[in-house]
Amino acid sequence: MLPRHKRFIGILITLVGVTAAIYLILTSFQDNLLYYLTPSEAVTKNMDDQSTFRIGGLVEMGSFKRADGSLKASFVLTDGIESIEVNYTGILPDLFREGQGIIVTGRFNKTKVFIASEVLAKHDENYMPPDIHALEEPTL
Amino acid sequence: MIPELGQVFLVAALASALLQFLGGIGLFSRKNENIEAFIERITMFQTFSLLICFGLLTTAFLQDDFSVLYVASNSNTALPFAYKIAAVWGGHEGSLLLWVLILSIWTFLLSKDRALKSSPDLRIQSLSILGLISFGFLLFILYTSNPFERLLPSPIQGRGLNPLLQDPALVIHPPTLYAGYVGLAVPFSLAVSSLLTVNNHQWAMHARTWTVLSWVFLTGGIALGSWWAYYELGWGGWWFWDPVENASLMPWFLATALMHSLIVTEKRGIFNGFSTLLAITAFSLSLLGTFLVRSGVLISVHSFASDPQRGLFILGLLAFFSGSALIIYSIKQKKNKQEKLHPLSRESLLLLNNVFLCASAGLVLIGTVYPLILEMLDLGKISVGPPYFNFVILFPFIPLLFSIGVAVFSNWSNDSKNLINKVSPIILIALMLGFAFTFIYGWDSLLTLIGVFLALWTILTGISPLIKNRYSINKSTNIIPMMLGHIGLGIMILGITVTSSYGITFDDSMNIEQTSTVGDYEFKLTEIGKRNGPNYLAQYASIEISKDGQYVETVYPEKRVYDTSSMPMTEAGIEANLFRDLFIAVGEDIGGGSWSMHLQYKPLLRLIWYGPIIMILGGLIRVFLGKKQTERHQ
Repeated sequence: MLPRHKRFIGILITLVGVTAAIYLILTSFQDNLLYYLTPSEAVTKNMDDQSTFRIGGLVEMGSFKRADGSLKASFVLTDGIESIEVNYTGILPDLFREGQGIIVTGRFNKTKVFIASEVLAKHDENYMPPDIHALEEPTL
Repeated sequence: MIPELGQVFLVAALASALLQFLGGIGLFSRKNENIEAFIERITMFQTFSLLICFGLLTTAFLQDDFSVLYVASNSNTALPFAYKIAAVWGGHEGSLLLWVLILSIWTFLLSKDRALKSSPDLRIQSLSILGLISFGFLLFILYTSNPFERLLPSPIQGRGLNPLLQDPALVIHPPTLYAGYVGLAVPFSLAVSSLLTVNNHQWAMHARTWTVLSWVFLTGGIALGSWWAYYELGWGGWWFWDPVENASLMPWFLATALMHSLIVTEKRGIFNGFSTLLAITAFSLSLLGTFLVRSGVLISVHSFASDPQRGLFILGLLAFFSGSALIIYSIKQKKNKQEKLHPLSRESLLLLNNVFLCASAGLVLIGTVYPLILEMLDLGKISVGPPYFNFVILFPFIPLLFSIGVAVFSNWSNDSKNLINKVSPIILIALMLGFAFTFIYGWDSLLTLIGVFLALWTILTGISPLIKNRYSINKSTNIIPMMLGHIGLGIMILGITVTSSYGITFDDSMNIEQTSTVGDYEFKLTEIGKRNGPNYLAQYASIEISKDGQYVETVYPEKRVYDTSSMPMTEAGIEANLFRDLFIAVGEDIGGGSWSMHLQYKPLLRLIWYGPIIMILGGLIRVFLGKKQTERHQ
C-alpha cells in the first residue's frame, strides 16, 4: 500500500468516527435536553403534554395545598405575570416554601396542570432562578 | 491592624511573583547560576508571604474580627473553632487565597526538585511560568476579591458560615481539590518551558511524579466531594453531573491521560507532542473549572453569590494562559519522529485509551458548556441533565475499560504475540463471575452484565501481574501503582454499576410505629423528637431497621435549623457496611401525625469511595518510588 493510500484510509476512518460521534451526541442531546422556561414562556409557547421541560418561578403565597398524611402536593408557580398550577408527589426540598424561588421539571397534563417529577430549591437562601431577579427587588 | 498587614504581604507576594517571572526570562542576569539562585530565593519569599497572609486571615477569623468584610460574611461568634478555620476558605475570596497559596507551595516544592536541577533551562523557565500564573491570580485577588477588605462600621455579629459547609469532609474537600487543580500547573509549566528551551522529551521524566501527585489530590478531592454530597445534600445521590462536579472531572480525565502518556514519552521518546498538548489542556480545564465555580455563571449547588467582573477576569486569565501556550506549541513543536507504531503494542493501546479519556472529557465539556453558550447567545435556556451524561459516557468508557485490561498484557514496541491466548482465560473468568454476580443479584439488563464484567475484568487484569509473575515485582516502580490504580478503578466501576442497577429509592409517608419495606429491609418509625445542637435546633426521627424480623440497627436522621440561617438542613441516617448502604432522610411533617421519609437501599455503594482510596494509594506509592528512582539516576 502506498503511503498516500494509507493516509487516505486513515482520514476516512477518522471522518467516519467523528461523524458517528457527532451524530451520537446530537441525538442524545435531542433526547435529553431540557428547556428552561419562565411561567410566562411556558404559557405563551403553549407546550404540549408530550414534552418535558423545566419551569423556574416563585411559589405563590397561599397556594400550597396538601391533604394530611399524603405525599401529594399542589401549588402555584408564578413569575408575576403568568401562573401555573403544579402537582407533585414526593418529598419537597428543605428550602421549599411559599414565596421561594424554585425549579420544577415535568410536563403538562391534558388540563394544563404541570405534573412535576422533580422539584429543586437551591441550597442557598439567596438563590433566585434566573430571570426572576427582576421580580425579587420590588417585592423586598 | 491585621488586615492591613495582610494587604502588605499580599502586595509583597504579587511583587515577588512578578520578579520570579521577570528573573526567569533573564531580565536581571543572563547567567543561569545567578538566575537560579535569585528564583529560588524569590519563590521562597513568595510562599512565605502567602503563608503569612493566610495565617493573618485565619487569625482574623479566630478573633471574630467582623470589621473585615470577608470574615463578617462567612463567620460568626457561635461557629465552632474548627469551622472558623474552615470558613477561611468557605467563601470566594478566601478560597482564591488558598488557590494561590497552594500554587506557591507547588512552585516552592518544584524549586526543591533535585532531579530537575540537572536541566537548568527547563527549571528556570518552568518556575518563571509558574511565577506568571501566580502573578495573574494575585492581581485578580487584589483587583476583584480582596479578602482583607474592611467593613466599616463593623457589625457586632457575622453572617455565619453556610451550614452546608459545616462538615468535616467539607473542611478538607476544597484544599484537596485545589491542590489537584493547581498541581496541574506544574506539568503545564514544564511542558511550555520545554517548548521554549530544550524542546525535547526530557520534561516528561520530570513531569511524571508531579502529575501523579496532583492526580492523587484530584482523585481524593473528587471522591471526598462525592462522599459529602451523598450524606450531606440530603437525598442520597453520590454524583449529580452538576457543572461544578464536571469541572473537576474533566481535568481528572486529562490528568489520567497525561499520566499514562508521559510513561510512553519518557520510555520511548514518542508522543511528545501529545503529552505536551495534554499537559496544556489539563491545566486549561483546571482554569476553566475555576472560572465555572468562581464566576457564578452556573446554576448549581456550588454557585453562591456571584459577580460578573470576576468571571471576565478569570476568563481573561484562562484565554491568556491556554492561548499563549497553544500558540507556543504550534510554533515550537517539532514534528514527531516518524516511528512505526504496532497496533497491538503497549504504546498504541495507551494512545487509544488516552483518546478515549479525551473523548470522555470532551463529551462532559460539551454537556457542561453548551447550555452556557446557548444562553450567552440568547438562544434560550436549556439544561443538560444526568440522562445525557449517563448515556454518552458509556461510549468511550466501555471500550476504554476493555482495552485497559488488554494493555496490561501487551509489550512495549512490538505487537504482542499470543495476546488472545493471554487474555482469553481472564475474559472467560470475568464473564463467568459476571454471570454468577447477576445471578445472585438477579438479572437486570445487558448493560449491567457488561458493567460487572468490565469491572471484574479490570480488577483481574490488575491483579494478574502478581499471579502470573510475569514481572518480578521489584523490577519496575510502575507495576504496583499500576495494579492498585487498575484494581481501584475496577472496584469503583463495580460499585457504580451495582448501585445504579440494583439500588432502590422510595419516598413514603410514615406514622409513629408504622413500618415501611424497602428491598429486604423493614424501617420502623419509633419516635420523633427535638434536640439542641451547638448552633442549631434539630428535629430527629428514630428509625429501627430490621431484616427478616432480625433487628439490625437504629438510626437517627435529623432535620436541623441553624441559628444564623432560616435554611433547614437534612442530616441523613445511614447504616452502612461493605455490601450495602441504608439511607434514611426525614422529610417534613405532612399532617395527620405523618412524616414524609426518603428511604434508600444501595448495594455496594461504599465501593464507589473505596475504589478511589486504592487508586490514591497506588498513586502515592508511585510518587514515593518515582522520587527515589529519579534521584538514583542522578
